[in-house]
Amino acid sequence: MQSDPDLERRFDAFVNGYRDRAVGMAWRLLGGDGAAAEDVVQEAFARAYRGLARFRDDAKLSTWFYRILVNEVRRYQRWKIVRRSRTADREPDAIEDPRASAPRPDPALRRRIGEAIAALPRGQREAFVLVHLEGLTLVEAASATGRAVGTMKSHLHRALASLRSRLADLATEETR
Amino acid sequence: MNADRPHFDRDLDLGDAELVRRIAESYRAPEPSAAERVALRARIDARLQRRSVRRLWVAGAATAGVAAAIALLRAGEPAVAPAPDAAADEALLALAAPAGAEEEALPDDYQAIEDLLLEGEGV
Repeated sequence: MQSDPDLERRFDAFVNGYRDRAVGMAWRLLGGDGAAAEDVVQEAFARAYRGLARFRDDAKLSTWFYRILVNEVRRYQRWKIVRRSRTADREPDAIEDPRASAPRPDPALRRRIGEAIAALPRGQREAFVLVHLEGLTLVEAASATGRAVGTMKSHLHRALASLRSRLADLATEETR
Repeated sequence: MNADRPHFDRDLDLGDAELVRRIAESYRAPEPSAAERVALRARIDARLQRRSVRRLWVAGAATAGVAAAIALLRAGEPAVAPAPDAAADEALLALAAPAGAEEEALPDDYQAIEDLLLEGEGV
């Protein structure tokens, strides 16, 4: 690693500021695979390290980093598809997190939701997770995924329709 | 629908808003412990360290490769003598020999013959 103390300080603050959010976002985008999420987050931070030295606009730092993270998630998913096609290893998505030693509220429900989200096409999944679950604005999510805002709106609409049909009971349980 | 607004779900109807709320609540990564946070940071640093070493190694290997290629190219070149150039030779001689010293530059034998001839002509 470089020994630029200013960069080290910035990177330290950057990791502390984004670590939990990044892990949570990657975890959701990867269908609840904790080990994969951590691997992706490590790689995203390592990639961001060099760029951070040149990046001075803190206002856009989050969007820039989320774009790196989303790209790493996609890279991981591509790698996983290639690995599966080579080994014919049709392992199920790892919904259970190996780190999850703390009691989970409802593992069955989490698994069900994870499967419903994992079944969405990639664009819809990214739009739904980034906007509805992670609270990014449409503009931020569009920038992070490299898509137009209009496309994001369309993906959100379709994702919601799909999840509504698969998880209809969740929408009505407490509004009845 | 305001694209810059962070709370996008305000635009949802009640049923969809509830669905989103339930999903967000149930489908989230476990909160990492302090030890897990430290471990993650250590793994990031280790990854950066490996990358830095690999970059140095690649740069060193590339430099060595270029140097070896240059050496091989030079070793393969035939030793070509420079083409004679009369004007350049004269210029070099003029610089090397002091003005009016042509006689001293003659070999001893030629000097002796010259002396005999000159004496015969009564110079």
